[in-house]
Amino acid sequence: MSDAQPQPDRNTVELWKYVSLDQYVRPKSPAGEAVRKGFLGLWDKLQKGLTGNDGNDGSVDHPYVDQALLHSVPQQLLDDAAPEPNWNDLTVALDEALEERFLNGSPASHVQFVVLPSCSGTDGVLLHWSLIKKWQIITPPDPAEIFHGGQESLAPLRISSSENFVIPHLERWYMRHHDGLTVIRKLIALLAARAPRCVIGVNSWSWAYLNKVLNLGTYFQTPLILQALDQQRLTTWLKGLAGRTGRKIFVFRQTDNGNLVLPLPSSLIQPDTNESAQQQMLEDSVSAKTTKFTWHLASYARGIPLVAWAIWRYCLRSTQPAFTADEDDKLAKALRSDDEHTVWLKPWSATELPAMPGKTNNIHIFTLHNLLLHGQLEIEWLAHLLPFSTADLLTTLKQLASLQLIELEKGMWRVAPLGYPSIRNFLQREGYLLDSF
Amino acid sequence: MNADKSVLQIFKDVGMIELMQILAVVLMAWMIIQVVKRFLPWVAQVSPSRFRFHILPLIPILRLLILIAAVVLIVFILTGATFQKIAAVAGALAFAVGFAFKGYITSLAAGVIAIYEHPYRPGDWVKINDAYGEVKSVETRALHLVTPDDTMVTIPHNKIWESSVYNANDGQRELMCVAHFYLHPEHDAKSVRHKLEDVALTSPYLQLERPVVVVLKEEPWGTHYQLKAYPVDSRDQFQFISDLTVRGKDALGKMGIAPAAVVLAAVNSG
Repeated sequence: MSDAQPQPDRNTVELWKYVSLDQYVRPKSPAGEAVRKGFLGLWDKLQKGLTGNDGNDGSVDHPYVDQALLHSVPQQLLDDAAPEPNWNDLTVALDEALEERFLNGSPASHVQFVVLPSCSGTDGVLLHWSLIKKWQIITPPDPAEIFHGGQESLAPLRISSSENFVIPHLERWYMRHHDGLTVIRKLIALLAARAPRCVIGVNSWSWAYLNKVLNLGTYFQTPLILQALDQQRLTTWLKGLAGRTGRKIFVFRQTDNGNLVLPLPSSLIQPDTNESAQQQMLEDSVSAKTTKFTWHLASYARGIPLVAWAIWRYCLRSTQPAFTADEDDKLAKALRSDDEHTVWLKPWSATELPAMPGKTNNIHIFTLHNLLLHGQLEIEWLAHLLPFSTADLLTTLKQLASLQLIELEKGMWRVAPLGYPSIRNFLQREGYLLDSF
Repeated sequence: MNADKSVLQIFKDVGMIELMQILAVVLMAWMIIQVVKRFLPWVAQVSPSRFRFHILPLIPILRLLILIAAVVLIVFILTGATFQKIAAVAGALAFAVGFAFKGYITSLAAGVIAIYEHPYRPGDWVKINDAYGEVKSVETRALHLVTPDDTMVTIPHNKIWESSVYNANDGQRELMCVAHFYLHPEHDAKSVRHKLEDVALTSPYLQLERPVVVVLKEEPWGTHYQLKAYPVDSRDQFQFISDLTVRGKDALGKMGIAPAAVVLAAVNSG
């Protein structure tokens, strides 16, 4: 990680922007999608209920590419077509937004909140920013300490009265338990009383909960949030990711009609033509008939970058079969000379994404809600918060993990970006408190 | 007597074709009712929760409309649709049915009013006389409650003429629940109040969009606290109250607050 000041890049600054919470705009769904979800969605369910058929098979009667020829994209190719995003690009945008807030804000602006939509993948940006700015990072107490007052974790705030600092994860400063709110109350009181500047990152679900429980929003300035990716910016981002490694050129097409899903990469524009002709071809490629896939994707993923990226990777298909790890290496070598690849995606209406199980109960609801509130939890603490046995919780967690809705990393359970939209829709249907993003 | 003769004449004129038509109408009405009875609960199940309370009450209304339509069609088939014949049949039927099924007709009339006025809907938690439970269905003549003990209670609609209907959620998904705590009078009431608020605010059952209230009252035997809050789903009311009680007792125990000695006092006074 570089210690240099973040260098602005025109493209990344335009792509990523932190805005005030009240200026946040969620990408809208295509007009037909609402109708489809309302009426055809009901019809699909009826058809499924009556025939056991999911109703999607007939939607692509004459596909452009035979479905039987499509396979999961080999890992090597997948990592080139949709490589892991580099979130440090966002640091510039965050820096600009925070500078503006600290310079022009009200007297209460010494404390700035940055709300992070769940599964946005951007948690590390604030940490990266604090390292560049050399601000002190206040680490959260562990769960056991939360239940015992959290004096050790609060100590740095009491001692260093003049140093600026960053709290990257406010959601790790409380537990949804009757003994779990004391520490965060003390922390908020300290923050409100202190003069030095501080930046606090908090996940969107915790922000919603803490607003209800502690009226957090009334004490501090309106938080910043990364603006959602709309269709246009999502398209630009995904196209940029596909060309990032520079090793291969990817063309993304839809299986039903062969239309482009993303505009053609600029490297496919013929180099032997003059500059104005190249420019014209570039514009033509951008305005070429592309499908509504990224529009649907932006809307379904609620403009959340990592969610959109995870779903994007999940949807990619190749005519090259996937191999085992060894064979994959061989394939990678074989493909090295082959620079141009067509990657296929089913039309959005035929895309099958992870969904909640048919039969659910309170254990599913409470488990998922708590994972979203706290970002991540060990099963031991989940059992401490919920009125269920560890065995029942483990069964539920494994069931949800098998459906790719949640994942386990380093002993911590958390909601998987791929499953986040399904989970959010499920909790919304059940009437539980949601974030606003 | 003339009217009786006319009615008899009408039924004498009924031939095989009319009988087949009547049978077809009855069969069709029965089939449509079965479809409605199965399809609408399924639609309610797959629809967002907020629509559930609007979809389920349509079932008895649609059933009634189908029945009325079927009866009208049969009358038309029987009478050949002349006014005199309809009036004769209607008069005779009203005379006979009115005496034979007075209570039933009263319940049907009350049922129509119940559908219109919504004193209860499927999904509501109501108390009528001694019965308290969730309204499972509102039929044309009666409603069916399931009590917390899983007992089905059938209550004719005409009870709404003579009894009060207590509806805890009135079409909403949430209803207020109250957990009671009886404490020894010597304690810091402010801390207890805040702690009980936290107990509710951290319950996974809680509907956070509704208020949490703690009220207390001094009694001769100690202090009576009532923790009032709403669960997200009214069906969870008993689990919610239990959750509040379990965690409230735990929290108060950690604060070193003793319960009121009401049991001992009651035993001594008894």
